[in-house]
Amino acid sequence: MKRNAIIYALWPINIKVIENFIGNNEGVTILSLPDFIPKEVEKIFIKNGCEIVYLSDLLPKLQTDYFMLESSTLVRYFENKYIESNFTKDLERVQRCTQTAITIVNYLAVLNYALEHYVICFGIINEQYTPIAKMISLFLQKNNISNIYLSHGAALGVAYTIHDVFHADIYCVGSAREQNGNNNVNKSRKKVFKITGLPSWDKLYIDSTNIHKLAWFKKYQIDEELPTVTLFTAWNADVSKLFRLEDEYVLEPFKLVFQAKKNLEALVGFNLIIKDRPGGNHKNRVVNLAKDLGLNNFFYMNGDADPFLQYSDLIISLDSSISVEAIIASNAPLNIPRPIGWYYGPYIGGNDGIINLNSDNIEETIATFLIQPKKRQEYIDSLRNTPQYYSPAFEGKATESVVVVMNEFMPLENSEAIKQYQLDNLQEAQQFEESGIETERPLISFVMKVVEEQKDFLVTTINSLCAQINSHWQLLVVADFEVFDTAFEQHENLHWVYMRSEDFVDRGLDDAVNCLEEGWLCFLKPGMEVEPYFLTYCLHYIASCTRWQFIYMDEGKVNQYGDYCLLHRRPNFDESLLGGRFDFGENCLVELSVLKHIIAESRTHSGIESFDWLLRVFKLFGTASIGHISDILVSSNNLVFESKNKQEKSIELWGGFSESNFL
Amino acid sequence: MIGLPSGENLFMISDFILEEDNNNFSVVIIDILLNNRDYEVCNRPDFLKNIENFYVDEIKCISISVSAKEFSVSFVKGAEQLSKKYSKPTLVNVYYPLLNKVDYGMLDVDNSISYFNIFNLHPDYLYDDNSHRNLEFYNQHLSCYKKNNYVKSAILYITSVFIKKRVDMPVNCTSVLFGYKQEITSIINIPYELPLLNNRGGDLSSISLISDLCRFFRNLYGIDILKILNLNVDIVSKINNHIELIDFDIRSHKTAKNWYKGKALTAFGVEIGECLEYFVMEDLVIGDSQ
Repeated sequence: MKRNAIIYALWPINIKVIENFIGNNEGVTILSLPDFIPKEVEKIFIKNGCEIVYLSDLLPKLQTDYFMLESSTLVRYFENKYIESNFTKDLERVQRCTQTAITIVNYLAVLNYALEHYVICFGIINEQYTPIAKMISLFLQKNNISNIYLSHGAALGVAYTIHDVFHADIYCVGSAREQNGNNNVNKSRKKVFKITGLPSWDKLYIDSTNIHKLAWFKKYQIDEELPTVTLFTAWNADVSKLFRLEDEYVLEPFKLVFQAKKNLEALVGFNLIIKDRPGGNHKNRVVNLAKDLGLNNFFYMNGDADPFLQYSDLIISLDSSISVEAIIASNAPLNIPRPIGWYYGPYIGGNDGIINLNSDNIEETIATFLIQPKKRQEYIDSLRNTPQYYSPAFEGKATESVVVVMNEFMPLENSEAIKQYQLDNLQEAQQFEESGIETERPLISFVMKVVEEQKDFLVTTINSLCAQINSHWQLLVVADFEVFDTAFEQHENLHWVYMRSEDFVDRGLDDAVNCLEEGWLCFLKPGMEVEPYFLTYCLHYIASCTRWQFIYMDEGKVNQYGDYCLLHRRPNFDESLLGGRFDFGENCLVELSVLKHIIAESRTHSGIESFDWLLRVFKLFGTASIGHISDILVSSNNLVFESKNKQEKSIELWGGFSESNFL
Repeated sequence: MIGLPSGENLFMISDFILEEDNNNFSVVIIDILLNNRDYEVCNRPDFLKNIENFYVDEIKCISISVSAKEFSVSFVKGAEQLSKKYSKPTLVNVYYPLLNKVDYGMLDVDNSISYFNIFNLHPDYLYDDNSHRNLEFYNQHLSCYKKNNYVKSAILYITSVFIKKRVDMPVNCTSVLFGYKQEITSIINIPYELPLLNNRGGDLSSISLISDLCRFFRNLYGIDILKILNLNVDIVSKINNHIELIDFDIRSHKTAKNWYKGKALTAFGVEIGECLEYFVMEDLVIGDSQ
C-alpha cells in the first residue's frame, strides 16, 4: 500500500509549519529539498512515523544512461533556443538559465517517480513565480493535485507582470487587506483564500518581554532611555523597468527622515535606526547622505526584523509588508510611499488607517506619537481593531492556522470506515424506502444561492440530488446570472431564479422563499454533495421529532481522491452554545411556514443565513425547536470557495450578532 | 460595486466640488446602469416611478438598470423634473461608455452640469483589461485625496478640464448634476494650472494617476487625453516616460510568457520555459538597461 505524502516547498523561515504538521499527522512522507527543510533539522523533526525524503536523494537512482542522454539533449536544445531568442548577451545569465533548466528536468523526473510510489495529498509552496516553486506548482496542476500557496509577505500591492502567477488552488494570506488586493484573482480565477496570517509573524506575539528588550538595547549600545524610531529600507529588484523610477528618488525617504530627526532634536530626542534588508549593504550610501545633511547620530543595522519591530516605538516602512507586521507586533506603523508604489499600489490608501508620511506631516507625526504615548496607543488600537488587518497571527496562531489548512487535505485514518458506514446506511435507507412504510412526507425544497464564479460547483450538487433514493424534493437556484444548463428546462423539479446583483445580495433569498408553498426548506451551500439517503434520513427525523423547526447537521470535507479529510462533528443544541463562536454550519433545514413568518418580520441577513434563522427560530420557539442530525449527510470538496460577498458580509455581520440582544 | 460606494461618491461631491459639510449636504444620487448584461431592466415610466419613491422616502441613493437601447434623454429629463418638483439637487450617474457626440449630447440638459466622473470607471472589467491592474487599486489611489493634496488637486484638475472641454470623446461614466450649478460653475471657472503638480518637477502621486488614466483611455478608446489636459512640457514628458516604462514591462512579460510555446521544450508535461519566465523577465529588463 502506498504511503501518503506531501510536497513541501516552504522557505526555512516557515520551518515551524512542517514541525507542527508532523506533530499532527502520522506516517506521512514529506517530499522536500534541503533548501526548504535543512538537513540538520531533519532528525529533530521526525516522529509519529513520518519521514522526510529529499528529492535530491532520490535522483541518483533515476539517472540512467538513457535518462541522462534524453535530458541533456532537451536542455541543450533549450539553451540553443534561449540564445536564439536574444534575451541577454551575458553568457553567465544564459548559463544560470541552463543550470536551472537541468535542475527542473531532474526534479520533474523525481516528482514523477514519487507520483508512482506515493499518494501525494497536496503540495505547499512559497513564491510561485520563482523557477523551482513554479515547477512544483505546474507539476501539481498537471496531475490534479491540490496546491497550497503560502504568501511570503502581506502583499499590499498589485501582482504586476512576472508576479502575476496564480497556479495554486488555495491561498493562505496575511489578512483581508491582501485578499482584497487580489480581488480579480478571487473572482475570475476561482481560488480559495484563507486568512491564516504568516507563520513567521507568530514570533512577534511570543517574544515581547521587557528583559529581552533591555538586553537588545545593551548589545547594540542603543540608549534605552530614549524612544526609538526604525526605518526599514527597501531596494530594487530587476524584474521591472518601472523600478527605474526609483533611481532619482531612492534616497528621498532617508533625506525625509534625517531632516525630521535634525529638526526635531530640540523638541524630542530619539534613537534613529536605519534597518537594512537582509543581504543588503547600503551603509555607505546612507552614511554619506547623513553626513551631507549634517547628521551623525543614527544607527545603521541589519539582521532579523523581529526585535526592531518589537522594541522600537515607531516603525517607518517604504511601501512594504513591515507596516502590517508592526500592527501584529502591537507597534505603530508609518509609511513613506515609494515612486513605484503609485503604480504597484498604492500600498496605503486613504481608507487604510496607516499614516503616509511626507514633508508636510512627518515632524508633527513623529513628535506627537513620541511625546504623547496615549495618542500613539490610540493609533495602534485603531489599526488593530480594523478587521482588514486581522489574522490569527494576532494571537500567535498563524502557524497553527496554516497547518489546519494543510490537514484539510490529509485523509482521516478512518476515512475508509466512514465510506463503508455510509454504504451501510444507504442499503438500510433503500430497504426502508422499498418497504412502503407510510410516513408523513413533506416536500423538501433545496435552495441554493449562487454567484457566477461558483457556477461550476452546481454540477456536483445537482448530480447528488438526482441520485436521491427518495424523489420528494425540488431545487431552487437563486443566482446572479442566467440559467446556463438545459437541465433546468427539462426537469420539472429544477427551478432557476435570476436576480440582478443588487437585489440578489439583499433580498434574493427571501423573495425565493416566499415563492415556495409548503413543506421544509433545505438551504445548501453551493458545491455541497448530499448523500443519496439524505432525504430519507431528513424526512425520518422530521416525522419523528415533531418539535423541531430548524435542523442543522454534521458535515464532511473530502480531498481530490474523495477521501474524508475533515469532519465537522457538532454537538446537540444547547443555549450555552450561542455564547461562543460556535459553528453550526451553513446547511440547514427550516420549516417553511416558520421561515416565512420570521422573514416577514425582518429580512434574512445575507452571508450568515442559517445562523440568522437559527437564532430567530430559537427566540420564537426555544431550545426544543432546534434539532441536530449527527450524521455526515453532506460533504464538500476542500476546493469549494465562498463568494467574496459572503465572506465580507460574514465578517461585517458577526460583530453585530455576537452583541445582539437575541440572548 | 460601481466605482466607489455611493456614500463615498456623495462625500466626494460635497467635499470636492462644493466644499460643504457632508452632513448638511443633501442630494439624490441616481445610478443608471446602461448595459446589455443585466436583464431586469425598466422602461421610462417604471424608472420615474421608482426614483420618485426615493424622493418621497428621502433616500439618497438608488441604482437602476436600463437597457442601453431603451435609454434616451427623457430619462435624464425625468430626473430633472423630479429634482425641481421636490427641490432636491440630483446627481445622475450614467454608467456606459458613451461613444460619440450624439450619445454624449443626450446628457446636455438645461440647468445642469454634466462631466466625466473620474470616480466611476464602470464596468470594472474594462479598467482591469486595459490597465493590467484591478479597479481596487485605482479606487485606492483616488481615496488618497483625503490625506494627499496632490492627488486631490489632480482629481479636481481632471474633473474641471472634462467639464470645460466638452470634446467628442467617450467616457465611462457621465454625471449630470441638477442644482448647485452656480457653485460648480464658479469652481470650474478658476483657471486651474495644477500648481501642485508643477512644483519641483511634479509629484508622483498625481502624475501616476494621470498616467494611469492616459493608458486606460489610450488602450480602450485609442485617445490621448494629454492633448486636452494642457500640462506643462516637463510633466508631459514625465508621464510619457512612465507610460513607456510600463509598456516595456508589459511587452517583456508577454515575451517571457510566450517565447517557448510550440517549441517542444517540455519535460514530463511541464513547459520548462514557463518555469523560467522570471529569469527571462530579469534578462530583458537588465539587458535593456545595459
